[in-house]
Amino acid sequence: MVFSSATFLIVFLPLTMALYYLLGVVVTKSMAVKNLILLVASLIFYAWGEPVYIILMLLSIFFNFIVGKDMEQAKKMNKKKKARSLFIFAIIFNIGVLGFFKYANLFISTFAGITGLGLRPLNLPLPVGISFYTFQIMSYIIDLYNGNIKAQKKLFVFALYVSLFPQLIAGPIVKYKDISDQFMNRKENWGSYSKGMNRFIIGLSKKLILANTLGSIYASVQASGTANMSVLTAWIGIICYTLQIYFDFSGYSDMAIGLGGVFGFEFCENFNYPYIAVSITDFWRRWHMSLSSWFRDYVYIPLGGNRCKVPRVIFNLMVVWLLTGFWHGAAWNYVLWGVYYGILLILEKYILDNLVKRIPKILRWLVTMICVMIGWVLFSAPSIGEAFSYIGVMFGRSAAFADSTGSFLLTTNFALLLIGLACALPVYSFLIGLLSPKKRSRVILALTPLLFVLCIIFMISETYNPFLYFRF
Amino acid sequence: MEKKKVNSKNNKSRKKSQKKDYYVYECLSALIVTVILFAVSFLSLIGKDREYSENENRYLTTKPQFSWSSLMDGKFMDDAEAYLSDQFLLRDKLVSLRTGIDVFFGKREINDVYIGKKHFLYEKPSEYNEARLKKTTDAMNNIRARNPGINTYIAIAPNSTEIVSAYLPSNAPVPSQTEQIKKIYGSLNGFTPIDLCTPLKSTNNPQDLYYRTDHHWTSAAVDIAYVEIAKKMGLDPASYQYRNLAVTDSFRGTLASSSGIFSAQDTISIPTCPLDVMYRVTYVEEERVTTSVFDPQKLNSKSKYEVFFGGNYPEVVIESSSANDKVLMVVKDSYANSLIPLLIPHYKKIIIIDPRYYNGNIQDIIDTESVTDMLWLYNANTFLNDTSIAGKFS
Repeated sequence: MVFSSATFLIVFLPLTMALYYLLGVVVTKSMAVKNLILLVASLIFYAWGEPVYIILMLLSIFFNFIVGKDMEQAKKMNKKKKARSLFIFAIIFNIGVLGFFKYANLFISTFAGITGLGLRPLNLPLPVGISFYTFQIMSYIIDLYNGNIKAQKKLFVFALYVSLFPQLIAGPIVKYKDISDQFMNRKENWGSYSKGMNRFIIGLSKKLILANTLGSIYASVQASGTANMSVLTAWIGIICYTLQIYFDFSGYSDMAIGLGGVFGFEFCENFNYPYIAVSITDFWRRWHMSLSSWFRDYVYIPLGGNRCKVPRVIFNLMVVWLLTGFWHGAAWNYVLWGVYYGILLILEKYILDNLVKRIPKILRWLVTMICVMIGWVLFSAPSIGEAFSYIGVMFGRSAAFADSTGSFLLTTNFALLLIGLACALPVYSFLIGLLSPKKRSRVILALTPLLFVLCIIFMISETYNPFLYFRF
Repeated sequence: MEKKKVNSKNNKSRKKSQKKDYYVYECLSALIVTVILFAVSFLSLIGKDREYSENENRYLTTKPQFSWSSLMDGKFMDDAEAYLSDQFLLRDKLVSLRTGIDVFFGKREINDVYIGKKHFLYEKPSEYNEARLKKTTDAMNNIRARNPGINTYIAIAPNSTEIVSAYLPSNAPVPSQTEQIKKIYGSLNGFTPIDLCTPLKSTNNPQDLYYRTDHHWTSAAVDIAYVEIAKKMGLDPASYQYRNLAVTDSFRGTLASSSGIFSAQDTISIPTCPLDVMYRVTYVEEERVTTSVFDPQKLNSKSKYEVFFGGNYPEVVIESSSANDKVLMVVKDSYANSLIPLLIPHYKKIIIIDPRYYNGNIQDIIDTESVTDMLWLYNANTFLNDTSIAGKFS
């Protein structure tokens, strides 16, 4: 199930909220009841989208719960070797499951392509959210092994940590150590509820009103092919995608954080206006922060981080970015995208550092954004070849700088692009800061309900599907 | 000193009250959202289901049937989602609100429909695909070469984007169909080309030549095209005096449906028949015979343009009491449906083939029926997209 679906908004969310607050908060006032309601809801939420793969998630939960307990036991009894082998076993298991379900197809078809063997890919569909919940589980196992946390004693609390529906499918990747207290000790109150509800609506609006609309523009640009594309069209297309992916992803994080608040949880932030970044390093401090911090804590620092000699640091960085690229999807263009960022970051760190400081900020921002947009072409193109021909068009390998297709796209979507830019850059916060505090509160009172109604309009109208049998 | 202290105290308490104020409003807005959420949910669940959507011209999804197999393969979930959104309260209103918002913010293309001025909707022009066209014209040239004795004519009608350019949204990318049609004519051998662009363009009221809500041409355009075609085919258009009579003024066509913009309605007219000519219409594959090329029942349906011939059929034969003994074969799309009625008095027999549905061998018909004339009648958008001529006749 996704948050922007009718099933979620009409049935699942109201039902879960009603049960949680009536049974959990008002009647029993019991944390166990509240957690149980959330667990059942989360499992239904997952099973709704993955009626078969829920078994895989449950297996993963059982396995890691038991291994975690054993590992702690072994550590307590000072059986270091046992703890270590359990740890390695768990890591191999988790990476193995993720690798098999996410990457087996890619490896088999690439291997078959190179060797010419007639191997058939497995064509397993990717279990939804597996990249996210596997990383959450691994944060638990690694922190447990390092002695940063205690093992969770209750299976159903551990299951709730892994499956908690607000962040199950698209993050943020909440580390166990950051949230473990909240399972037994959290207070729902009007403050967190209303903050959460408003945040949820903001996220829903990002997804339904902005991301989907912008996405359809990029889709039409991409579908038209690069053969007759003008420079203008290519830039409009990639700007739309740049905005779309931000609204899509950060919208989902907003919804997750907001829903967390509705049920009394506090999740980590995941985005911080990434498109005002003035360097690539800055960008990655603002984009999908929970993933970057995961890789920093569990890969980069264990490898030695930047406290080593330069070649080793470069190696560490490349490993992290290769993995980051790979994590985003099972295709070689994601790997290329990760390597691209690895190289940019290394360049920034060691070569351009002094030069960059002398350039005016606005120029640094512009260059950063162009690099990010080139990155998104690599990320979104169906193949590496098509990505390069798209980038070629962006930088002038085209018959025309502007054509009527481009100017029609620009004029008919100008308002949308402006609104998109205003929301992706902190223009809204700036404008609202200009108002008096009293007016500011009036704005939020009008804004969120209005946005919610707009969301409903956009969600339902997406499904408008006329049957045109006489369209010949 | 003292004053300052009081001031800062005041400031602090003011900030505190401002914060509280914001908090109250945040709670209020969350409360409103919660009320909307539960109200929508409640109303959706008690609302009565609709079976059919007039606007979307389809049956809406009804309550999904539960079964374990549909649960396991996810069909139940998909059906539930479709059911909830299809039966959502005020669905049609929400859709038209959405198109209203889109158009307000400048959008001028929805589902391959250009939103023009004065309620004029345009079908987005088809792409000019050389490879695809070559296959089509090769197939047509083949048929022509095999039948040298038959007078063969080609008439490709331009679409509204070419003729009613005044109401196009600004900057809308529209290729010159006049040029495209010229190029197509140039690649056909032995066809007598009939130029419909020039006469259609030279009228004073081009906006009357196409429906505002549908991709077809109107009787006003057919009148002009008929004269042009008749002249080229050696017929005397003056010999058939007819009038157009309006049969409906509430036509909302395909472009309205596609875009979801239902703000305008069109009028459909049909020509009067000559009183001295009788005819019989045979729908060959359907094995149905009627005495009229018009199907008045279609005027009560959504697809009112189908009043002409009741729609598109693979093979329709019209035999008339005309004194003439020529036999005409028309290979066509739906633009021809409103023009063919005017050709009836000029031929003993008209055989109408729609390659998109026809699967037989037209050479057999040409031979057995001793066809004397052949007219290929299409509109540009359909012709440019067509794959059935090449697929079935080569």
